[in-house]
Amino acid sequence: MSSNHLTLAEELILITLDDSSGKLFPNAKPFAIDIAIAASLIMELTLNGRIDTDSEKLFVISTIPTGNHILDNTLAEIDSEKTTLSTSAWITRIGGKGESLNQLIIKSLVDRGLLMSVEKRLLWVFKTRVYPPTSGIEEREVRARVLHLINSDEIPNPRDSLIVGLLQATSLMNHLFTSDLLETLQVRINYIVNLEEINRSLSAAVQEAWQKVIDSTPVVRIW
Amino acid sequence: MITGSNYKLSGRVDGTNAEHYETEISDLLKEADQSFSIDLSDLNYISSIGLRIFLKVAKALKSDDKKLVLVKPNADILDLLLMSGFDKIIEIQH
Repeated sequence: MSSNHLTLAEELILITLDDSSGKLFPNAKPFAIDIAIAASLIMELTLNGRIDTDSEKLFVISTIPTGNHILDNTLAEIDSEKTTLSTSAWITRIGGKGESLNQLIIKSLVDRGLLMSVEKRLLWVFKTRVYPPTSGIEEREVRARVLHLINSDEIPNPRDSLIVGLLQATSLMNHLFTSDLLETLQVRINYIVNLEEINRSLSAAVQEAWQKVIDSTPVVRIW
Repeated sequence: MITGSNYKLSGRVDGTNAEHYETEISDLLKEADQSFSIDLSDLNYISSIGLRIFLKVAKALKSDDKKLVLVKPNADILDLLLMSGFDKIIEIQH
């Protein structure tokens, strides 16, 4: 794997970080981002020929390291599991690492000079760290690629189809494009997303996590 | 298996052999006239990586104003192709 090549997880984080605040986009559902990051690692491993999936299971086809330690740790975790699990089960499991996984990917982007790491103070007391983009070129490139794809009748390549699935699952499409444009192109977006089995598993995992949130929310009755 | 300008896939296609099939098919695309057919009648299983071959081949053919035709998939493979929406971009002959 080329070190200059951005992974899907890195592309997703670049899009998810709010440029002005340098924080993860506040309107995206946090669990959806965690789950999408997990899915993006699995997607990258399939694109690199390390794992494969079908509608029922995810399986390892090669344990040769990719050279990216986040991907290789994920591959090792999947390979060490004795039970065969579905793709959505793996997405949910890896997504459970949440913030720690996101921070690893942010750190790799900082190390590569694509994000800055800036310490800020909240209320002059509490320290917080934010990650504004160095130039924003990479994020704009992804946005332009997705816009071109959803606006054309091109047959998508797998990587672009997968990034559209990630943006759809996290509701980041609403952040990137106007509601009028999305309404016009929703059929095309759904078609692109549906081409990839992992996108369907991601959608199922997000739906399941959302249902758990709803189920665990206390019902308040106002008489 | 190579049959003239067309191709036949049989058995299983997944990440362990997809690259081999993709290379063989890509080598044959130049010979295609208006369309290129892949016979799926003996194909029993195809994974996500296998399905991507069809998209890549269809994309390559489309750039030359040609089309991919998938011929005689069994019921399970046909279901998979329809569920994935492949029928909207690739002609499928039952």
